[in-house]
Amino acid sequence: MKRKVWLGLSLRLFCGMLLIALVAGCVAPQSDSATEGSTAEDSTAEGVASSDGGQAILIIPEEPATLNQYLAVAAIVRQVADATTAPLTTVDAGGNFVPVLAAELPTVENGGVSEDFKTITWTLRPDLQWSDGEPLTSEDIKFTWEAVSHPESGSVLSVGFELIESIETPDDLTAVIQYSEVNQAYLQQFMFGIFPAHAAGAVDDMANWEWNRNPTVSAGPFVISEWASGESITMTRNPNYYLPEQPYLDRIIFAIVPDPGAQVAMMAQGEGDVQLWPGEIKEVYDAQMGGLALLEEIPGQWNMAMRFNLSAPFDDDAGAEPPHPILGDLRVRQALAHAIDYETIYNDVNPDVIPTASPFSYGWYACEQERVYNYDPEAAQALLTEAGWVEGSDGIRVAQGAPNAEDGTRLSIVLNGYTNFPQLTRLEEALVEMFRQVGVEATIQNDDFSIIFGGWSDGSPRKLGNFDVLIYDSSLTLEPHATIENSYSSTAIPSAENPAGGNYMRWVNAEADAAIEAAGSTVDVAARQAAYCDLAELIATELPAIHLYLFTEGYGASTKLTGYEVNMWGSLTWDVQNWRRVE
Amino acid sequence: MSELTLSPGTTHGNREAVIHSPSSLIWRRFRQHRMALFSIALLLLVILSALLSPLSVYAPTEQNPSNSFQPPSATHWFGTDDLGRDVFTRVLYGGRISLTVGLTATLLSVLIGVVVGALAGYFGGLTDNVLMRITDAFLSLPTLFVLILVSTLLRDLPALNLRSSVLIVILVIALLSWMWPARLVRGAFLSLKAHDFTLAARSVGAGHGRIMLRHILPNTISLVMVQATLSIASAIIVESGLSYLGFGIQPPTPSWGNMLATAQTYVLRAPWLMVFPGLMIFLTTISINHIGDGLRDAFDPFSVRIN
Repeated sequence: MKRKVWLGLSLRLFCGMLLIALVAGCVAPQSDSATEGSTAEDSTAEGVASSDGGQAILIIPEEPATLNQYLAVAAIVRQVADATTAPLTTVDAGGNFVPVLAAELPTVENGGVSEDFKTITWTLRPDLQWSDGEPLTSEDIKFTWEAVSHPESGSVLSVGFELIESIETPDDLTAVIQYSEVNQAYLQQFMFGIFPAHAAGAVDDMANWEWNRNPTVSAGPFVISEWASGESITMTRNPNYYLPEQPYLDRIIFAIVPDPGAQVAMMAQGEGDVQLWPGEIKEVYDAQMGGLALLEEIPGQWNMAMRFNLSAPFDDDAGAEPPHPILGDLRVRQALAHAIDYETIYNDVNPDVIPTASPFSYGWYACEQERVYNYDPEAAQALLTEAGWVEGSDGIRVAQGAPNAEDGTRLSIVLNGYTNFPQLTRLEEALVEMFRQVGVEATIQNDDFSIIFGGWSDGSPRKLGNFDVLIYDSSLTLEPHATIENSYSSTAIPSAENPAGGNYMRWVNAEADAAIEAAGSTVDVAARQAAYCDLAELIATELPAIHLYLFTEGYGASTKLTGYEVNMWGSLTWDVQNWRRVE
Repeated sequence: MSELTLSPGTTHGNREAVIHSPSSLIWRRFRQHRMALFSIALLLLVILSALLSPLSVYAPTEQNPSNSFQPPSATHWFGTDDLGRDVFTRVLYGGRISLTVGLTATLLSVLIGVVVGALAGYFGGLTDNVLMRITDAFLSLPTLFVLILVSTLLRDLPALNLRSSVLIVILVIALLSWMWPARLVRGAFLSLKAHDFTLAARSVGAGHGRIMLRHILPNTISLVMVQATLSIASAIIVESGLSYLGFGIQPPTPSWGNMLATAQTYVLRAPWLMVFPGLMIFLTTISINHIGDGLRDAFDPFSVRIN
């Protein structure tokens, strides 16, 4: 009996030691390999000759549901689908449109754009072919429009297809697009690819095409050769790609690896060449990789912001009235803005982000907006007291003469974000503590992605107005007007009649409406930018939202890979045709 | 069965027949199990540490972001986390939630499971059919979708306080995990009800309740204990999974499960974030496992683990 106990104890002790050894093993070599890493990095920096061919393994965290970008809601689709997609134009890392299948960008000067801006003439490069050898013609452009604009296409991208009245194809290389009204985003019209008319499927059945998941005929750099669901997507070189020597790689494999730990381990062991969305700061990532890979970063498009609900939640009314008992008062919002220790967030909570106070911080419409209400806890306290919120017995303030709240109401708000995003949780936790310092109780309620970003009919809290503070990141595209109008215009408050409305703050401001209208009524870029800057200043002053920072974007890339360029406007694979392996 | 019984141990070499009451027999057997006794002490220590958590010099949500990711030291025994919070304090506080959730959810699921399994196994026939089809129905529910559904329903309500969140987590875990003990207990009842001792009890006029509770149930305790010990650890982990779906314990309130979940992100950078909550779950599970072992031996009339 005693022997048994001792045996058991010894076994457990051994297991414990094994556990410690394993943990130590995980930690100890890190510094060594980091030193080795710098050596490896130096040697590759010398520039070893590229050898064409070979393959790259791209680690992605989730599986795309489709490779048809016009059907895609999830960001992952474009990251993968761009490798098989041939657009008319794309946007380079500098934010400039460049032609891909188009011979040149249509402009007024070269006759591609009519004087009234309503007729656009696209000319294709000569002798283009699909991967199966069939010719790629202007008929394919027309087919793409017909498929995407069909009422039952299921298309989720609205880049002006509804404005197209007709497409004429006078010859194989020319497509003349007639718009019913000016489309400011005409260069983006076919940025998400054109379909092979001979191989995609019936024009009225785009939602159900087998081609969506199995685009074996493509004009992009690669063609899909195998899709093992839940495991990997393999693509092979398109022999008929429009650039004769490219792509340089023979094969790319998207490995679907949901677990971040496993992704890092694969990269650190050299089993992956690219890791999408590593979610780690560069310094730490590079050290973990021991010289095998580096995090390539640039300022990204995702702007983290808090959006305040200015209307009462849970009142069965999605409209702007009555005001939110707490956040309906500007002084409370100003106090919250004063309570945030921005420097701590930028330096300690989420280092590696790019501070911004502006909703428009990149692209041609960027506005350098100063923060109007800086970190000042005393000012925050004074504003709350002035607004009728006095200190309660447990340090949390309660209403006493607040304009929209009954006396005794606790100054308690809920921060609504989405789950499975550690960086967001960290920010929320820091905000909870900062708000508590001025007597505001904040709790975190993070919901699944599908709930927080659901539609009106799904009962999404942000659509119905059942929240206090939304906190998440959003982005704008090169042509931002539709999104800006739908986010800040008083006509865009979600309702049963307007379920697509995106003014979740329920912000009603005549000056903002005027600025939005001014920006939408001209094609003059400078005038539009000035109007957006007026709007940015109104937002920073009236505080329907507080913008905090931009994420850096990028991916982990093996030091054996060259030729890539991180592009804030493009996906991971926007330039996959340029990638090379070095040995 | 009489109030006094012959100890099975008497048939194995003791020269003098000793007569014990069942409870004293169980206690005698249990205390022979040294690991079980040690585990009780260990579990009490874990529970005590959770109860005494307010004595820590730090608050569980007290942040110092400029002091993040400090390895274990004299000032921070278990190091600090991504926001510079004291991991030792958070582990102690986390124990309150995790032990409550783990123990209560398991107790509840075992309770439901035993009742359903016992009734189904003992009465058989239509009762068995109905109860087992209900069990099958619950087993075939896709857990993730049920959880998302519950989460969506809860979302229509204003924010829940911590107490209601914990209660919901316990109920959800129990309702989604009672089927396994139910099937085990049913199987055991089916087999045990045909044994001679059951027939003997019936022949002397024992009622259904008495036969089930006094004669058959003690014989299933070993199965139930094994199932229960396994499900405590899983309940602690499931709790952290639930917060991913938007209900459950939301940060910054610590639980061992959500501490472990957060630690995944920093597994190479700050392994201590994973080690300590992991160790607590390990110690809790292993001690409950040994206590279960002890109880099984103590309750098992065929046990030979007695001097």
